[in-house]
Amino acid sequence: MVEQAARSKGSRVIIEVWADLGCPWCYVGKHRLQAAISQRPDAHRFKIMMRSFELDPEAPQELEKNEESFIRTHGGTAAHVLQAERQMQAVARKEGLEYSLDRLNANTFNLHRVVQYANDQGRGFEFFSDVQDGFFAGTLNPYNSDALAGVAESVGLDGQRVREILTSNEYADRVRADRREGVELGATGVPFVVLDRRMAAPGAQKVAVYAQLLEQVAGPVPSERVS
Amino acid sequence: MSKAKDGLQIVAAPASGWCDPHTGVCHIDTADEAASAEANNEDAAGDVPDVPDATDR
Repeated sequence: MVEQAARSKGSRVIIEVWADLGCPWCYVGKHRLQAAISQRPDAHRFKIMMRSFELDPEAPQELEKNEESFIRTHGGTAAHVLQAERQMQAVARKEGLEYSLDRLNANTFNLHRVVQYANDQGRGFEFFSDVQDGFFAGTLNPYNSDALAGVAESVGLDGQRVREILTSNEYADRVRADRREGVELGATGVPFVVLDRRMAAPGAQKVAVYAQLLEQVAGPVPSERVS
Repeated sequence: MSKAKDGLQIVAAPASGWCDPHTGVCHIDTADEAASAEANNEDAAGDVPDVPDATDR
């Protein structure tokens, strides 16, 4: 009860998001979560923390076309992949999001190591979100060191430090630990959104569902409160 | 709406879509999610014959 009362007075609420770069529902889900947060006049209370969840740890380091990576891992045909991609593109566009069909995939482990560094600097969500938006818009190659350093600098991080991390093995253990923890917490779908370590939502939920979860962990929006 | 799991309440509401944490394959849960989107996007609707129940990242 004490905890609930403190939260209703405006304490910070941590939202952890387990996600991977190539996951289109992580992209859509992020924007829905942001929409739900922005609906609240106390939006500043919510801090999103990125957690790493590699969906394909065995993915090659070399760039592959989207359909190539699918066929390599799951079989099927290019036509099937294109059909599914167009379907996903339609969902994204309906929500006002850009969605390029010409994306390239590769192993995301190194990106996640940089995300961990960005988390340490308090800019993990901002960094990952900008990389994700650029990737799905088809305007950013997230597997290029200079491109990642550029995004890092744009959100206030040290680009040179990013380059150093990319040539080392720093943060590797944390990337793997994040994935394990996500599974242990019950992630049956990615994105996996955990609010205040009390509520969790696997997969991309609708804005209304995220809004309901925010209310459950942080109380009703202030304007709706009876004084 | 939710069920308890190790002190964490897991939302039971169906997601619009998700990527499987073990296989990496991504899914669309509700047919109307894709159908309604395609109805609003002529480019994306294209010549897609049917709405499948799974997509890939």
